[in-house]
Amino acid sequence: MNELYKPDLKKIRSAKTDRERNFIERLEFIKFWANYVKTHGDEEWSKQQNVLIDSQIIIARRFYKKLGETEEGRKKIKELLGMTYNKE
Amino acid sequence: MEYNADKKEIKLDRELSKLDEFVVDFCRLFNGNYVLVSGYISIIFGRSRATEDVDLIVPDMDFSAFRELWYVIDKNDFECLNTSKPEEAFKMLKEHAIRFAKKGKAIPNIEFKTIRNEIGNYSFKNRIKVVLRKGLLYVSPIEMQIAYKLMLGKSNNEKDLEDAKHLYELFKERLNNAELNKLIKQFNAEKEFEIIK
Repeated sequence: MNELYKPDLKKIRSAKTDRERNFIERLEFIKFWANYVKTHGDEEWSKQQNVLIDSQIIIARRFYKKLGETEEGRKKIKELLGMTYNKE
Repeated sequence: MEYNADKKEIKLDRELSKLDEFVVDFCRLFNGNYVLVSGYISIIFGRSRATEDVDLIVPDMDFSAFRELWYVIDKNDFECLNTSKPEEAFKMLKEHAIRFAKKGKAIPNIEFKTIRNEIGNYSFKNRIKVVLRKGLLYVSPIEMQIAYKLMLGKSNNEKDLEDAKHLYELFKERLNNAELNKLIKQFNAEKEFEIIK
């Protein structure tokens, strides 16, 4: 990566709590990443983003598959997905 | 990425993720009669976070149209996670969203709702066409997405403010600022806008 990530230290130092500092730091990174998306080809940034998105789907599917092996687990899945009705 | 605001069209030459492929496959069944809203809009445009569900809204329909759609969805290897009966699903839809996923999978899934308010109406009427390498998607206008996410961020929901920030930073030179400010004012989200600007 050629671009350097330079967060706004003044903004970060203005935070009153750790939580606020953490949030400001994330916003600063989002600004950096959005600029990266703007200034690079779609192919380039999307390849990096897909590593994150695809791996989450693979892991979540593995998790639900394992959970769905028992009756208790299937009940849990319904709760997790916020279902209010039973599926036959 | 090329955004033509006048044509309400964005050409996006991104490599599709598994999530994008799932969304494109599902949306194809609606012949353009839908709009995608909320978090997925930030994600398709590069936001570096994942999600398990994608919000899709459609114009209200009667049971006969819903049943027809149900069979198309079923024939294309998707299933409803709430129920296997279209009558029951239609009843649920009057009260809350129902979810669809690829048969045998729970993740990712579509949170499917009918248009119930002015925000939904606006998003549908002003939707933007996103032209991808493989297929196309209709998404809520960027100005509405930013304002809506700022409104959700009022209850200290940092994820929503971050989604708004990503879209704002990405599109800020091409936004309709008068429209954005109008929507932000409508949602009383001026303070949140100051945080992400």
